[in-house]
Amino acid sequence: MKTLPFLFIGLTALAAAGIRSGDKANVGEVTPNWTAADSVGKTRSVEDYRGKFVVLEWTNKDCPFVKKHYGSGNMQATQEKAKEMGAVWLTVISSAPGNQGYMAPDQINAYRKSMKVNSAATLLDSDGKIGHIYEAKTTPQIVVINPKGVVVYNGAIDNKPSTDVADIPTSTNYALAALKEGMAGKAVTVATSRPYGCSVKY
Amino acid sequence: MKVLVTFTALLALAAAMGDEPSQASLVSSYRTIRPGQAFDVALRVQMKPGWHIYWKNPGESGLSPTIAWNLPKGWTASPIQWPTPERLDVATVVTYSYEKEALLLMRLTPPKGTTGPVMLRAKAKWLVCREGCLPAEASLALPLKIAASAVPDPTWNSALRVAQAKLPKPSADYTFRAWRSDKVIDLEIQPRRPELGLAQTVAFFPADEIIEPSAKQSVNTTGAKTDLKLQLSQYAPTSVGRLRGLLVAPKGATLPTGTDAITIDIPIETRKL
Repeated sequence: MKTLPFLFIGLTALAAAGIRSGDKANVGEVTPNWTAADSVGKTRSVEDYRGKFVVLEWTNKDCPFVKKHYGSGNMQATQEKAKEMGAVWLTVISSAPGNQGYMAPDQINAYRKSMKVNSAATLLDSDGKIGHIYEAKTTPQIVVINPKGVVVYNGAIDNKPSTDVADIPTSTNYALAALKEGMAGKAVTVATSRPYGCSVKY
Repeated sequence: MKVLVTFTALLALAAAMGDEPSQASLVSSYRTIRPGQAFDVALRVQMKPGWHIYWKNPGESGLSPTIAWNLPKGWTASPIQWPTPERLDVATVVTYSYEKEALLLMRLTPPKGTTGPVMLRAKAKWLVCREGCLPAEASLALPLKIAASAVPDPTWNSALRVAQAKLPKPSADYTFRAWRSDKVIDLEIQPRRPELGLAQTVAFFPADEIIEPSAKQSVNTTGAKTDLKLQLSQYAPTSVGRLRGLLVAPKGATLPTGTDAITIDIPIETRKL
């Protein structure tokens, strides 16, 4: 009988922290921690960003869906907007060495410069470790994590699955919508959407 | 020597198809059509070996082809009638695809008072993938004559009839029911006659994003009844109303109905406890 209040508190704490399912993080669950090197050699852990919104963006520079968003400047503008809102945007490359989209750190740095990439960093996830945690399927794909570490969005960049730049002005950007609602303390209306794009080249 | 042969074969292909991995054209079952008489046409996409395009549900990556018609006044075109695709599993990413050649059928209906000849125009867009993907598009034209009696196209009439006959269709030989319990959809298939029992190799291809294409589908048979457990996709909306898709025989095989796929479109019920 005495143990009951303790158990109750324990359960409440667990509920507040969200539920973890092994090494994967579905929407509504707390992300497991991971650590990866970025293209300038800095080590980044997702736990370093507790207290901030984090956006993960899967990319592959040779994928036509990625080209749609980078060639038009839409991805860079979205990254800039997220930064203004106070979020940390991390671009992730999960392509295995030799596969399409893989780049060595210096190639990534040159690409970031030439494409004016506005994310905080590009992470090297050559072993696909981070990609598998969120089951990233496509490039681009977006995951939004709230300041408590809970995944609040996983899916497409927007609601127009195409390679057409002409579709961008009429698209709803799900990354920004999730940040906006999440930062306003609201539940994210579109918390999942089927990501569209090229397959991640694990 | 082998290299040379392969190279020559590649050259022949390149000569036939240019540098592009795929090319599209419009083909018609009739060269001369009758006013008011519906007829079949197809968007034909030819692909070089190793390349593929996508079904109406591309699966976990890719994009479905689209066609935008620019038809004379009074003409109508049906949506694409999608043939049964193949399940492609590339490094655990599952897509529903077509390889080599796809004939995407549509039914066109000219108005009763139409006169000819006419030039039907359409813009097709598609994504063609091997390891990487390339977006492609083509502005296509199909010239047709109009007369009191129709004249079949000698090259395409029979091919389009075969393609039409092979399209997946609903079947009265089975009753389907679907139940949802948390993240799993149970698809129960009851044949009208015991000899129509399905092999354990059947698969369900979801027509939309509610089912996870790469998740294992466990198939159980009890007597003639078959039960498929389908994993809800993590991208499925909270409320899922209907289960839509195809029940498909393994590649090269057929279902007891003699077709390679059956169309399913049923409500998803909540299991009573």
